Amino acid sequence: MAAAVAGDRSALEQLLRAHHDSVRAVCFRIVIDRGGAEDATQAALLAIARSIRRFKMDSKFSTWVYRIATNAALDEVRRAQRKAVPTEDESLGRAMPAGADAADGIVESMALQAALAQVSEEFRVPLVLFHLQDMPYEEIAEVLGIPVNTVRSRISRARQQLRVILGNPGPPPDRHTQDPEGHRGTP
Amino acid sequence: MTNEHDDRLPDELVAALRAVPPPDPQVREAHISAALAAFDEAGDAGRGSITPLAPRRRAVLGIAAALLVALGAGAGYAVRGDSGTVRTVTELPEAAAVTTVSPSTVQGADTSVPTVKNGSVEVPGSPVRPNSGLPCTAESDGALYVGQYLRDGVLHLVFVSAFTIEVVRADTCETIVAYQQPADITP
Repeated sequence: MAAAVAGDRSALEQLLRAHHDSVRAVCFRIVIDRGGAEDATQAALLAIARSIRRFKMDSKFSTWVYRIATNAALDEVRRAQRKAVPTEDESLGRAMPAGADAADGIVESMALQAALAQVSEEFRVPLVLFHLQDMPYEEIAEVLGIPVNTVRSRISRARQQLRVILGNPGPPPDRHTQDPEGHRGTP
Repeated sequence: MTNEHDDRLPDELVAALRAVPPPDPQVREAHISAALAAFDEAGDAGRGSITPLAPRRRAVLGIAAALLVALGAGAGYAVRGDSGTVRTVTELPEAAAVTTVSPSTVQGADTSVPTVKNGSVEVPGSPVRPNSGLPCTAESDGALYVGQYLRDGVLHLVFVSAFTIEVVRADTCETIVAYQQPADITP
């Protein structure tokens, strides 16, 4: 990483290859629309490449990368909202097959994407970073520039919204863990 | 109010959230190639600006940078022309209003705004600040940090080098705008 910051092109290429899929995954879950997610991924990678010489390594590289990815994804969301053209993109789940022909996983994924689209960005972004990237609350707070408690409450709100949207308001069977998901982060 | 048990997502939902469709390999390569090209381009631009500042050029760019800091919350990007008036030469992206201001307007601005004395930029109470202690470094060795402003909750840093004034987001180090020396300013 230090080599890339110092201007080493091949080092940057390695970093971009290492982070591409995770950046794209974050963009995909935030932007919802697949084409928009690809655009946001491209924008994020361009921003990383143009700015890496300025990166001072005071924070984790991944934190910086996800901050850029999140900004790019939210920019794409806002751009799409300005266009305000109804989409028939099947990634929103509107073209979900009615019968049982489609594989359950695909249907579930489309339903999830459609549900995520109904969760406001404010809550969706920390939820995606938490569940998709296994990111602790503290790092999400750093990425988004908000307090840790705000991260915690926003994720909680996002989960509530998702459960309601998906018609699954009840909690899952009891699991005796300190953390809501039983993994990393300060509860 | 919710407790942590209410706050869980069903495992199958978390699994679905993580199951992002894989990228198209060709699109992935295109993303990385474009980013590397941007990296090369940024490197060329950075090397081009490492040039000692001629006094007049430094003064002009210093004034422009000072105005930019003063007006950064949304006005324009201005520079003093030969007529003694201050005119907008370009606009900030994302719907920043383009305005024309008089020098007296700027004189009445915040006293923390940098000023130009004897051809060099000065920040009240201190000389031009070095780049240490900032979240982002300057693009080139010749660039100086001259000030900052807050816009939409995001801190923006202003750097001046021989031929450019550059505004950088402090949280991601992305360049927001890079203003090149206008043609009517001679060193």
